[in-house]
Amino acid sequence: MNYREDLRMSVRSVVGRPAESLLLSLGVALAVGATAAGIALAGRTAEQSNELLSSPRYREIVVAAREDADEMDLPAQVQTSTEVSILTAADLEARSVTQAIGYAYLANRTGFWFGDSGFGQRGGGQNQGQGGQGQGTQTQGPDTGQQSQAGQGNQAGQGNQAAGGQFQRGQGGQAAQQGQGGQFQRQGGQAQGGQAAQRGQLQRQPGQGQQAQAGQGQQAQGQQAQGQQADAGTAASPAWQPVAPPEGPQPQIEFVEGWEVTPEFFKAWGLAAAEGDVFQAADLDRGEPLLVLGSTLGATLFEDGESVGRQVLSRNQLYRIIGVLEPSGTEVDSLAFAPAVIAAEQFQGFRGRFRALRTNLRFMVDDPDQLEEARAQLANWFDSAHGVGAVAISVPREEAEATADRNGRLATVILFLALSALLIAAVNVTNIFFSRAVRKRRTVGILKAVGASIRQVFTVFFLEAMAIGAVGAAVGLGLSALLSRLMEETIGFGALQIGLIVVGVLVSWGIVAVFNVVPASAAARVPAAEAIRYE
Amino acid sequence: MIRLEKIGKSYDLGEVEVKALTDVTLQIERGEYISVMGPSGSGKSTFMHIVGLLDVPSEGSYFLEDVEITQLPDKEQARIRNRHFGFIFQSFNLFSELSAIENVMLPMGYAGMGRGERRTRAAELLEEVGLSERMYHLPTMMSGGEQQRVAIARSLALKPDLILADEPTGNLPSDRGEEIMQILEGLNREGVTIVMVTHDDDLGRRARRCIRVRDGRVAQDGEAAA
Repeated sequence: MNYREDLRMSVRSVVGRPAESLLLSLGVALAVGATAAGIALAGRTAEQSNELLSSPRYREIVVAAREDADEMDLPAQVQTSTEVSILTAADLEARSVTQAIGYAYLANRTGFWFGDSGFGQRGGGQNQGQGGQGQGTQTQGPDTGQQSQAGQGNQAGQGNQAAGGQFQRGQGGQAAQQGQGGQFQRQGGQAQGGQAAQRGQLQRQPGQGQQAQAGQGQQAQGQQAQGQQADAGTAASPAWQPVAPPEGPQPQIEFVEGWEVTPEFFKAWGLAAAEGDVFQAADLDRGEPLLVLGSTLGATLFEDGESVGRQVLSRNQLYRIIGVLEPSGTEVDSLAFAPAVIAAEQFQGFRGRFRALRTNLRFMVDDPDQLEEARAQLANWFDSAHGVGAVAISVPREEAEATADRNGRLATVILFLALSALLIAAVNVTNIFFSRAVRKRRTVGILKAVGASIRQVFTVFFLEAMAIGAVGAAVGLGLSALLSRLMEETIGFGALQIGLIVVGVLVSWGIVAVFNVVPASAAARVPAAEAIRYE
Repeated sequence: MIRLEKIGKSYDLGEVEVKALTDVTLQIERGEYISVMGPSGSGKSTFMHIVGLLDVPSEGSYFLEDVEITQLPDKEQARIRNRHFGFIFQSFNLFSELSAIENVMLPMGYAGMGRGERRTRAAELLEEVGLSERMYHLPTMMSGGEQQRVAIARSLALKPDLILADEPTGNLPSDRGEEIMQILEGLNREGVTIVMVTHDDDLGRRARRCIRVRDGRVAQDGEAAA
C-alpha cells in the first residue's frame, strides 16, 4: 500500500476550497468538541460515582446524639456544643442487633496543628468569636521556645491575669512575627481582636476554610469567652505547662485534617500500615498520644520523607507517629488518625474513655444493600437505650447516591445535546460531500481509467472527508478539553482526565467518519464511462 | 490480443432504450495502429470505453488474450486497466491537485510500486516527452500540449499493451497536435498497440487500419488508405 498521491490529492482538494473546508471543519470541531466533552463527562460521572460509592464511608451508618447531628461533618474544633454526648463506647454494642453490621467504631473529624501547642486546639468550646481581619501574611517556621519567651517578655505588661493564666499572650506584631512563640502563651482577657486575628492568620495557611476561620475566631474572641476557657483550662489541667517541641526535624506542614478513631476503624476501612503499625485497643487504654498517617501525608510531613517513630507537637502534646498507611488513592492518603481517646481527654478535660464531647458512632455493613435494614434495627436499639429521638441516625450513602444519580442525569442530558449537535454536523458534512462527489465525478472517471478499483476511489474520497474530520477533531480536542473542564468543575469533579476526552474525540470522529462512508461509496460506484463523460 | 464478439451496448433511459452499439465483432492484434472514426453520436466513444473496460457491454463477449473479461470483478478489471491499458483523453484529464510527476506516479501506486521507483520512472517518462523542466508544475500552470504530454507519460507508466486515445489532439493547436501524433506513432513503432478515436480524416488516415462506426455499427473496417 503506497498511495501517497491519493492522500496528497485529498489534502490538496481540501485546501483548494478553503471556505468550504473551513466551515466544514468548524462544524465538525464544534460537534466533536461538545460530544467528546459529553462523553468524557458521562464516563467520568460513571467512574466517579462507582468510585465514590465503593468507598467504605458509604457502607457506614452514623449515629450521633441529636444535638450533634447537624454538625456531624464539621471538624471537632468548630463545633460549639458544650454538653457531653449521651453516647458512650458502650453504645457500640448496638452492633449486635444485626449480622449485617461487620464493624463498629468511633470516628470523629478533627484537625491537627503541628508545632503548635496552643489553645487553638484546646478551646473546642470557645469558638464562637469571629476574628478581626488581621492582615498578617508572613509565614513562619516553628520557632523555638526561647524566642517566644523573648517575645512575650516584651509584652509582659499586657499579659493578662485571667483565671489559671500562667501564660501570657503575646500581643502585637512583634510577638506575632516571632512566630510560634505565641503558641506558648495563654490567651488572656486583654487579648485584642486585631492582634489575635493576626496571630490566628499567621498560624494558619490561607485557604483552609473552616479551620482558618476557626483559628481566627478562637484567638479573637472577646473577653466573655475567655472566662469560659480559662475555667475549662484550669479544670482540665491545673498545672498546665507548655510542652516544648521535640528535638530534631520539624514538620513542614502546619495543619492536617484527620480523624479520631478507635482501632476497628482501620479494619473496617481496610487500611493497613505500610510502615510501622496502626494503633490497637491497648494503645487506647494507655491514652498515649499516637498518630497514624495516610501515605501521602507520611511521605510529606517531614522534608526527608520519613515520619514513623518521630514525634510532633500538637495540642500541647507530643504525638508519636507509629505508622504510615498503604496508599489508597483516596482522601485517606492525606489524613492523620489519632486514637479517639485523645479527643476525649483533650476536649472534655476528664478521663472518661470514649466520652468524647462529640461522638459519632459508626456502624459499617458488609453489603450496602443491608444499610436500610441495619439502620432500622439500630434505630430501635437506640430508641430503647436512650429514648425515642435522642440520637440521629444517618446513612451517608443515601445522599451520595442522590448526588451520583443527579450527576448521571445531568451528564446524560449533556451527552444527548452534544450528540444531537454531532448528528447535525455529520449530516451536513455528508451533504456537502455528496455535492462534492458530484462535482468531482470526472476525477472518479480518471481514477478508474488509470487503474483504481471502486475501493481505491472510495479511499480517495473518504480520506478527503477524514482530512476535514481530522482538522475538526483536532480543534474539537482543544475545545472539549476546555468544555469538559468547565462541566466537570460545575459538577465538582477533580482533575481533568485527558484519556477520556481523547476517547470521546475518537468516538465522535468515528461517527463523522461513518456518515462519510455513504457519499464516498456513492462517488466510487459511479460507472467510469459515465464519470468520464461528465463535464 | 483483443477479440470482441457481437458486442452491443444499450442505455435504458426510462421508457426508451437507446442502442449505442450493435453487433460489433472484431479483433485487435498486438502492435496495430487503428483509428476509429465516425460522426459524433455514432458510438465511437462507447466503443472505446468498452474496449478500455470503462464501460460494460450489454451483450456479447470481450476476450483479452482469450479470457472473457466483462464478467470479472471490479478489482480485476481495475487491475487490467492499470497494467494493460493507457488512456489519453481529449481534455487531458489530469488531476489538477497533483503536479505533473505526481500525476504520472499515481497509476504506479495502484500497481504497488514503491515510492522511489515510481518517482524515478515518472521522471524518465516526463523526460521522454520533453517535460523534464516542468515536472513539479501543476496542470493548471501548463499549456494544453504540455498537459497532453503529461497524460501520455501517465498512460505509459506501466508499459501498457494498448493505448486508447480519444481525440488526443482535439483541444490542441495543430502544431502541438502534430507533436502528440509524433509521440504516439513513435510508441507504435516500438510495439505499443494504439487505438485512436478521431473525427479528423487526415489523422484517421495516418493509421494503418481504420474502423468507421455509424449508428452504432461497424460500417467499415480495413486499410486506412482505402
